[in-house]
Amino acid sequence: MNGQAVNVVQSVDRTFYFIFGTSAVILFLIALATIYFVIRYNHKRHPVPADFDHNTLAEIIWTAVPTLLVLAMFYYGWQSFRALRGIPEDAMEVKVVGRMWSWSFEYADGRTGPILVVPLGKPVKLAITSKDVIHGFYVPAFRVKIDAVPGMTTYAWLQADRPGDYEIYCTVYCGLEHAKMLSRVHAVSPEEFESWLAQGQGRDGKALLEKHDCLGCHALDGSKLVGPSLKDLPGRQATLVETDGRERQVAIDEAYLKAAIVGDKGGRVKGFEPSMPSYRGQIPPEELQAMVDFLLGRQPGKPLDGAKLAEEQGCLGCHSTDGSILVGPSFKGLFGEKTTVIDQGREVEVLVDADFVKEVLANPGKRPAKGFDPVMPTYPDLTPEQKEALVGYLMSLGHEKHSH
Amino acid sequence: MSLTGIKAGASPRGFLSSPQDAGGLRSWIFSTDHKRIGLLYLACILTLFAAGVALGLIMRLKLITPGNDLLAPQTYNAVFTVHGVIMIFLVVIPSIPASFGNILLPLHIGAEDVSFPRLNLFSWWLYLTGAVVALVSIFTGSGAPDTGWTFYVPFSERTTTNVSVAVMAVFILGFSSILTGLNFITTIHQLRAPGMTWRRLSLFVWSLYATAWVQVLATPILGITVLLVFAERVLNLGLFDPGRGGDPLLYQHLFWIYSHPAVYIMILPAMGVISDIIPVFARKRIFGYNMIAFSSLTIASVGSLVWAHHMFTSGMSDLAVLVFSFLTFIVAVPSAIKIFNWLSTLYKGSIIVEPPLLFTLGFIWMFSVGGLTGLIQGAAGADIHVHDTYFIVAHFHYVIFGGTGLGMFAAMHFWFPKIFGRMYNRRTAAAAFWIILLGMNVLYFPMFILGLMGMPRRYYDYPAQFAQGQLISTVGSWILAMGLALMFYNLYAGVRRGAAAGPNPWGAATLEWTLPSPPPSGNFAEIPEVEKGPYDFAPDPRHD
Repeated sequence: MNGQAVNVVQSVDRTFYFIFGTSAVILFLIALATIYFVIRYNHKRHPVPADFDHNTLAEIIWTAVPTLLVLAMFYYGWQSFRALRGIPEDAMEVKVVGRMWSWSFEYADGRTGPILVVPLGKPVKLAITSKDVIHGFYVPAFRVKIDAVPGMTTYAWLQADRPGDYEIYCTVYCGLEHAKMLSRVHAVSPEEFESWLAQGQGRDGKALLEKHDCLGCHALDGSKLVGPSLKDLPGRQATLVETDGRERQVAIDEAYLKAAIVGDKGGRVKGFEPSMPSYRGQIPPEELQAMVDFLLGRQPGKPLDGAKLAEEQGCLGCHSTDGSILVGPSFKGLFGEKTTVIDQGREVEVLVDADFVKEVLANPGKRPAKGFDPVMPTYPDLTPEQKEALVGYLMSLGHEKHSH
Repeated sequence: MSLTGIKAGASPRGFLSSPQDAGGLRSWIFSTDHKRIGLLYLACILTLFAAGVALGLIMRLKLITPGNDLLAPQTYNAVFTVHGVIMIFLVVIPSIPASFGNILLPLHIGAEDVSFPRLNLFSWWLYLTGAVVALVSIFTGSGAPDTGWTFYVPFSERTTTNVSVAVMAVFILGFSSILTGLNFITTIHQLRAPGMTWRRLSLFVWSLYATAWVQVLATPILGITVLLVFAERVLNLGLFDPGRGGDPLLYQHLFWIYSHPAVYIMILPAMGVISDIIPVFARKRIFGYNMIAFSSLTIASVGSLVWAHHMFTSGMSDLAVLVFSFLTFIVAVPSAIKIFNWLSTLYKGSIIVEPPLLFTLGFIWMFSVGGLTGLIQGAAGADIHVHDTYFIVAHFHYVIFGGTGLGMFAAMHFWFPKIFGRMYNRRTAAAAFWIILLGMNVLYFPMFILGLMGMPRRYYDYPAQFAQGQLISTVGSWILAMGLALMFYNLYAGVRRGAAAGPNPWGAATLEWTLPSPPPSGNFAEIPEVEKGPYDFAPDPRHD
């Protein structure tokens, strides 16, 4: 459970072991005393009880000694608390935003992402807030925990001294998917961190395909290796053979590629053996996204990626892209269709178009969708470009006649 | 003391038998007899306890493996909320004071009844109303509340589930608790029998007295707080909304200003029960009577000043953390003193191990684990790591179930022959005790480890590294359920066909044991003159 070797963790753990050790001894003595007395002074062995009901010296001792012990515990506890709170002057600041039910991390250059990438050996100051209800930002490996409170910024800090991934949990109950409000700290060498930061929002999808050994089986030039080529994928369809031998055509889009990479596409591609391993849990989400963007011919960094934005902004926590109903209506097939909303208490049919999507982003409570709780928060910080990108993303998921 | 209390021609079933012209349900639900009201509370509390246990078992079953889909996420969130609301507000807070407090307080001080018998009946009706409203909140509207029993804003304002009705239930239950406290305070001040000086009060009565003050002083704050949540939901005032000048942390302060002292409402009466049982089975006066009585009052008063130790990670100021951490450690000392006093009472006694003493020893062990792990949470730096994890869940189940729960079971086994005039099977009771103790530890101990590993509470699903501890914990819940079933079956069998117990089967020295079992409706035929303390035992009657 100890993921780190920094002083704060040691300080907290020292407090813990001091209290735990003392308590274990006290508990042992209490349990031993009860059992010994019950046996030794059983009425058969000890038929006549002694007659005393106080002993001033003993009472002074067992008031004074516990008092001193708890004062020592208080002192150690306070020292380790100060270590947790004492943010070094040279710390790099990262903004942390909690929302139902995801975290987002923003770096000084405006870059955002769903995981917290930190350089080894450098203190990182976290400025934490929430978009909606109270969340709890918790990284057990660093003993760090502080609430993310709407309308308030709280601070914490951590310093990774060993490379690796460390879980982030939400600890304040925040509704339906509280248990899935997970992320991680990804600790990398300073060089790696610098190059990651320098890449900016757009990532080199091709390099990532190499990094994850995709290109050993999939060619980029159209030739057939162990697996199908990855050339010119956008707009194409794949023929899948299901386990019962039935064949079906599927569009090669973002959802399909992501499913394929984690081994979830529901069948093998016709003409190939089902030999591809699942990469589930092995590829960080933003790397996966970068690879998919590359394969779909999206230029990194240029137009804003609506899909990525929808994930970062937490839209996909409530709106699925596969037709399943979560908290809100699914994005799949939503755009370009009529839907029923509640307008000032009356049910009205509206067309889901660009204007309507923008209205919902600005004022979700005005005309909420029928059959869903009006719980969607407003997104006042979105830029017009970002809103356009989200509209574009919904359009791409929309009814077929409107897509592409 | 001789058995002067027996009324000539009194029914052998005492207060349990109704006059011939007024039997049936009405003679119970409109009775102002404190013993009948106490039994009404006991019946309601045990029924709701069974419901709370069932919900707990369902939760444990859902968590037996990661990815288990026995319950949908929203269902799980509602189940842990309802489990908490039932257990805290309907079971544990009223538990010992409302049931055994009502039955025994007038008997212990040599009174006919409480000061305001009709107000006492009204308190029970308020309790019943609150319970019904709480049940209504589960089964009506747009779904059972899903906020946790803490109703934290802003989530509790935004969720569309039936929170408004649930907080009204809490509001009504609060009044029931306040009025019971008021009744007990006046009773203890006004209705003590001649010779029943303050220093001859049983320690159970002292604990009820300290508890009653907390009930009267702290509960109104809860009432106001839940009303504010109601107002926020209905009128959208923005009291806790930072966008409109409100503050979500204000809610947490208000909530814990009641809900931390409420912990002492839960535990102090159990400590009183333990203080009364140990001397009886050690056949020895309680050690440090003054200190135990005084520490109850200290815990009740200092305990009112430690609420914000529930908020070390909330974002409140570091100075506040310093102050509340310090006060938290100070309040630990009187609890430790009580344990040393109980041990010293056993020391050089002449001990008979009967079921009430077994449950009492269980209380001491489990409460010690709960109390000592509380020290880790009082230490500011260490608390940051364990706050809102399974460590906390384990801690408060050790204190509340291992402490208050076992204390209540001890009271049930101790006063059972007095209340029903019959004895349960004592070997079966002992067996049930050991199964319960084993079950509790298998159920809750792994949660300490899970919490230290970082498992947050209120998760309907969890990553695979927590699977082993979760599985063991679920197995523990089955053991515990078997122990509880055996215990309640044994007590039920005792009510139906137990052997006659006689007025004083344990050889205890408090006043209720001078009456026949069950005691007659009006308690004492004439108000007794008290000439000795609650733990001055007659020369060993057990060997007669």
